[in-house]
Amino acid sequence: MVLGALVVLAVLAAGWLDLTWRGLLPGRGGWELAGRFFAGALAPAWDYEDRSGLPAEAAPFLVRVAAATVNTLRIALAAVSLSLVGGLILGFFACSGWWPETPRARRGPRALWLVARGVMTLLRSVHELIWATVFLAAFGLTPLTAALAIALPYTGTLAKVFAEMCEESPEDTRAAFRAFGAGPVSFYFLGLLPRVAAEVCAYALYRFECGLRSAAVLGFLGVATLGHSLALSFENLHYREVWTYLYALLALVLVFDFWSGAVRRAMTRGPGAGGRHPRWLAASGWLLAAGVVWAWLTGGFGLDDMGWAQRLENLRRFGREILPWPVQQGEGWWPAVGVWAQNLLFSGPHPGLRAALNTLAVSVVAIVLAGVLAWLLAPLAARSLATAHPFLPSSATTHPLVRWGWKAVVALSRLVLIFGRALPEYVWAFVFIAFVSDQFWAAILALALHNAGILGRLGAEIVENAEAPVPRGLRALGATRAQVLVVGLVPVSLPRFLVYFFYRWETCLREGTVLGILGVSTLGRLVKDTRAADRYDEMIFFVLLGASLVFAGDLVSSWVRRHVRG
Amino acid sequence: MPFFALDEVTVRFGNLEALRSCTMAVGRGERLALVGPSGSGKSTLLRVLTAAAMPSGGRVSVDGRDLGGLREDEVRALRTRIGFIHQQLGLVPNLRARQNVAAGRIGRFGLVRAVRHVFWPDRGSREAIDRLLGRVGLGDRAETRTDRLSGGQQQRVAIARALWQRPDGVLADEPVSSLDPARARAVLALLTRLSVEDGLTLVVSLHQLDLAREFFPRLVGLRGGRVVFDRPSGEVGEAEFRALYELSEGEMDDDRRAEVA
Repeated sequence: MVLGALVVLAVLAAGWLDLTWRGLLPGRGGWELAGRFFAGALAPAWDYEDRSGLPAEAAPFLVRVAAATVNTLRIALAAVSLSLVGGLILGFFACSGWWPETPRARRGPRALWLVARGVMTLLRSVHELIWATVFLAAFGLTPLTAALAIALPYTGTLAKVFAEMCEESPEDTRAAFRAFGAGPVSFYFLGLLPRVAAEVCAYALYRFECGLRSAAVLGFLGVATLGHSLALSFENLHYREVWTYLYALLALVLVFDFWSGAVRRAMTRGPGAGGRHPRWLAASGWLLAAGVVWAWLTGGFGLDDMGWAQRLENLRRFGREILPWPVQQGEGWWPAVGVWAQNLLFSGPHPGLRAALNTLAVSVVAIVLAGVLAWLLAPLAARSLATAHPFLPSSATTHPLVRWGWKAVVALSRLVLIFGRALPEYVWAFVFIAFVSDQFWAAILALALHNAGILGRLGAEIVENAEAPVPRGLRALGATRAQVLVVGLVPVSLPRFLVYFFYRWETCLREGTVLGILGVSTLGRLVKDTRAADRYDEMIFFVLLGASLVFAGDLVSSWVRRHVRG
Repeated sequence: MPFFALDEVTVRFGNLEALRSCTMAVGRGERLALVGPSGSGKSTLLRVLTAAAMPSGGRVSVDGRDLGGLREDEVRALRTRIGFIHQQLGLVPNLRARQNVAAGRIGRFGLVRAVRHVFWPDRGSREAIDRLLGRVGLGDRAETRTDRLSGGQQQRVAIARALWQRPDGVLADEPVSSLDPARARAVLALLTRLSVEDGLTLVVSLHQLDLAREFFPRLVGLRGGRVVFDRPSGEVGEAEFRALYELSEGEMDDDRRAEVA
């Protein structure tokens, strides 16, 4: 039933966006460019494609690639380390695990809790690119503001996750801490957090990986990370250089993914024989800490030479200019602001409400497409299914070529999934927008590809971990591979898959907003346009509209997730 | 001509011999119980009969057809004719009882028809499945999600699924080992009654001598991968049966074999 509703919603959304199959195709002259671009995948550049415009003393191409990669890493490390500190502190206030027993004594913490939840939601509902746009308006975009732009939403997310992990507070620990007179702060940091240390570390590592993608994407606003170099090469039609940058980002993310995966597995396995973790685990921790220190020391995160007087003046002016226009004009808040907001929502060439609905529609079509793609690829990527004799051995003879063929199928589908997952939606959208004639399709394809990578990996894991008796029982009935999948594995794993599906829909909504910066008619476009016109009051209005959309999506998604369980 | 036949069959898993030169024949419509301790080769013997284990020596045939050198589609065709009830039933927990029973026949269909048959069966099939559920005593449970049924009821769903296959023979691997004596007796009574009614060949592995004697005219005792006895159940004595289960020096081997099988 849920599935039927989703398909209907996706069809309605596609109708709203006026999607056509023709829109998927490249426009005039686009075929040739697209062909050149994808041919570049096989031949990434090792040197500048065209040296004519370059100064003689320009650094060699590969040095430039390395510098952009290192800078991406640096900003990610700085930003995520900052958000870890922020998340732990904000998480303390957003967590009810340390509250005292008596209702009277709980009043204070409860008030703080409400405030913390509000701050958390606001931080998290605004995308890092939107934060960067706001900072750009207020301070200019320096490495410091770039790191801050990433750190703010990440702080909100981390605080939420940490608070939820610490919600459960076991009575014995609580009693023990009370017995030696520990206060709430030491209870939170020494009693609650250590219990979930493995999960906290795993999640923090995952955020570092996301941080790499975010840092790269901030390059599109001008920070000197991989996104910046990539955009420049792309605009010069140097597609082979673009692929070098794409591969650099892919390698950066995959190396980190591989390493953090090993750390996570070692931590969940717990100490081995002799009660000790493997030595490399501690070394990994120190390496990461050293990386963070290195990033902060060498990243140029100092303030610019603007001077505090100037800075304060900027801030004061920004604070004034984000007030609604009628207020700035001294017309008072009501009803003038109501009319102002109504105009922004309903009239003009790009009414806000239409942009918000576009964002919603893009996210729905994209996530349904991602789900379909994921279920097409996941079975092929699951080693237990994509094999000559899945689940039940057979005495039938198999040609070695068949066995190798299945191995190749698994490897190939995993490669597609990794590619989709490791590169951010924004980069995919940036590329697709140049070749696909309908901008909405470009955004949808980008979101669908990235999320299919994530959902597909999850699907493959679900298929591989499915309880053996179910598929084996069906195989014993003489069922084919496809029948086992459709009749057994899909129904069994549907609830878990749906939980994750709705979680990813929420992120699609967030990212869909932001793709507007690339010119797709979603809310991000209005944010970008109003900033470019220095109409900061309208910019903040659209930022908040986007945040409320994301927040509403968050509510819907968590409601659905609670109800599809089991 | 026997329906199931093993001739000097040996099965190896690595260094372990799960079956050693087993010879046995089961006639069409016959009912037989396999008894023997864990790791004696009962499961392996059942799996050999559905081409899910590869003999390293000897010949296996089903309904006169040699199972050596079958192609994959021939293996599937063979399996559609044999109902197999695993110890862990392998039902899809979040499908309805009727849908799980319907899955019994998908081996005969292509993908699209199989999906239709399970999720949107035509009226005739639906009524036939419900009648079958009635025969196993679940007439009022067709719409219930399978994981909401009790263990004994799920066992009945698994039996109904095997029968919906319209098989010639049914193999059941320790179908009652997780049930209490009363429910175990009820399930075996059902299984034997249905196979008598439909004229099925039935091979069941068991641990309880009393149950084996009550429901099966013929017993085959296995130990260490060898057939120790094979005779009418009335002639198998208490002492002989207990000797089959006695711990021996080679027990370590058996344990390891149990892990494999």
